Amino acid sequence: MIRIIIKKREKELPYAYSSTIVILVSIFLSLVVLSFFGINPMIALWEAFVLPILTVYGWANILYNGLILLLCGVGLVIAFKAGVWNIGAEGQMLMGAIAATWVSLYLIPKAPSIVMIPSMFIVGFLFGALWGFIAGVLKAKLGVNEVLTTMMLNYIAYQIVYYLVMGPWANPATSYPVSKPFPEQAWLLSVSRPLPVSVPTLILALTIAPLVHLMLFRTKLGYEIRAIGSNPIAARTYGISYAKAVIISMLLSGGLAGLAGVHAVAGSILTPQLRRPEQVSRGFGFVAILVAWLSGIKPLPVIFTSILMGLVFLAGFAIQISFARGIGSTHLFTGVMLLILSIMETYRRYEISVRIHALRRILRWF
Amino acid sequence: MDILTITLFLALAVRMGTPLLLACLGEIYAERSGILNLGIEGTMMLGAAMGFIAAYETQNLLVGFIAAALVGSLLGLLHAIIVIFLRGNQTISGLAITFAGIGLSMLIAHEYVGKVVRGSLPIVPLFSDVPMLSAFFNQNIMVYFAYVASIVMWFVLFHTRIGIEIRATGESPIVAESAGVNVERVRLICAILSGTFAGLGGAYISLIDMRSWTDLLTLSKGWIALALVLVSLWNPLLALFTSYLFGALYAFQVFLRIDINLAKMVPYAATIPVLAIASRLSKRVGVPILGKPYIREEEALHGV
Repeated sequence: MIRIIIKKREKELPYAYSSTIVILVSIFLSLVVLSFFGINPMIALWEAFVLPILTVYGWANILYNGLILLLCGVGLVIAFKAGVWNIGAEGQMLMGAIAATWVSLYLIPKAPSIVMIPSMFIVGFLFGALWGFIAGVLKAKLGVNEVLTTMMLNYIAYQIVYYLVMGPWANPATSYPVSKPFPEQAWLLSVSRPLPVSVPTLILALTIAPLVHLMLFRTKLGYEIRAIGSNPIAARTYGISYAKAVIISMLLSGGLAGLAGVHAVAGSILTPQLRRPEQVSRGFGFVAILVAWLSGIKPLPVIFTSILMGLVFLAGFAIQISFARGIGSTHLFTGVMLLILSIMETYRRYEISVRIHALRRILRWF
Repeated sequence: MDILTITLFLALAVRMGTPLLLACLGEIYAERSGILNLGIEGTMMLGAAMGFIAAYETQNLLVGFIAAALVGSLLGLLHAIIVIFLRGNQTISGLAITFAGIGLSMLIAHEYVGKVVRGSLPIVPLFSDVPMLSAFFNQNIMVYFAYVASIVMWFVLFHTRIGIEIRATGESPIVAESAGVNVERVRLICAILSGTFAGLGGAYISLIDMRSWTDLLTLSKGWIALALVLVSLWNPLLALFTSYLFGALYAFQVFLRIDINLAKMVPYAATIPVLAIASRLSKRVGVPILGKPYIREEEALHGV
């Protein structure tokens, strides 16, 4: 018989240690699984992880991905700290992308960059925050499970984007489901030249992460959010408002994902325009869940983790392209990584030892 | 609308609702025992893929369903091992299974995209001449399996000792254990069952509803099924009703004369208010405690 013995650790293992193990083990496992589908693991490793960091184009991609994950990830940290399972960063991002398209193509198409770019980010934040707010209010006031509502809101946002790019916002010049290209003042990469990264988003993200850190660990609001997240019943007894903490954390979480959505379209390495939803959000909202957890639900480590996961995400994408296998490998990798993470979360807190009794008996017999 | 259109509409509702019902039934048992399995979507997807491959290669739909049930059970077992024995986080583990299932299904069934499965299931020709009733009863054996399963599962859950053990495990594991229930075993079986039924539901989509393979086939039906568990207040008989109501909502899309992309929004948009109402109601009935691992020594220390 196999017996699993679990003993509580006196001191929890640090996240830096457990997250490194999660990433290494899941890269290894994913390559093993991919090799069953006729993908050479050594070539995949080379093409996916080594080639991108050798070229400017690779770095442009890593930083583009990384900034999306950074903004979404910091947002999710706030929600997870409040004990709210926001699975909806994907939809909140899409709402931000819709906002950017609306502002740049229809609201103020002639405005100069200095007006255009801040307005895109502000409206993007508001649209994303609205999407988070809906799930937050439903959870706080009616006790509706937020995993299900945020997932439903994801699908609704998907359909809205589909509707827009195939209907009212479709580009008449092409039969592809895309919007018209944004006016050039709205291109985040063209205002950042010669750097291969969107400077507005970079500045925004690098200010927001420390701000969120201060908010969570140095203000009354942050204290209330953390209290509600760690023990809602006790926090309520001390007079902390459950509804306030849940709604504000979902507002901020959604808003930050909205900013990521603005960057995803306006900071695109291809032509900035609204595309099919799976080409805009591309599963970033889900990978951001990993980013938040691998960072130990803390805003500052997200800066490092998101860039690293930006490379990993690119790797999944490179494997898709060079082996023509669709988005499957990215999803598989996200799944494997979450699986290892869920086991590691226990291992961080408990010692796990597996005893195989039959084996021992056989060994004793010798 | 004439009688024939209504009958066609109802038949479509049954076709769309049966996978929802199957997935929902298994998850009701899992959640009643205190295990939240968010992996339903991925389990359905992999079940759909494996079922399709098995049925395509053997030209036999029943083999497809059996393969899907087996694969589903394996994913259920994986979730059970992680959350029961390794005390992993139920939400993370469930999401992991969803993504891994979606990814694997796309890789495994890559060469089957666009292929069409042949063969059909035996049909029970009850009320085949009566217009409205034929939509529900002139159906294949998997639909009958779903009907019978929801009645049997309702009876077991509320009128047998096994049912009491499952519910007790979900509501208060420490009390259940002191009454002699093996909490871990009950949860293990229920978690596996949720995978089995999700696998069957997925196969129903690929083998009966669609009959050909495309990527992302189950299209969020797993998430809708998860919402329906709550909406049915964890009651298999109510699930029979709500699943076909949502089946009708899906069928409604086809008859709705608006933009296809807006029509596709209908089930998701409808789920949110329905969930809100159900969450209100569910406070009155006994709700299982979800997402909390059962750690014997810590329960003993801190009490219930």
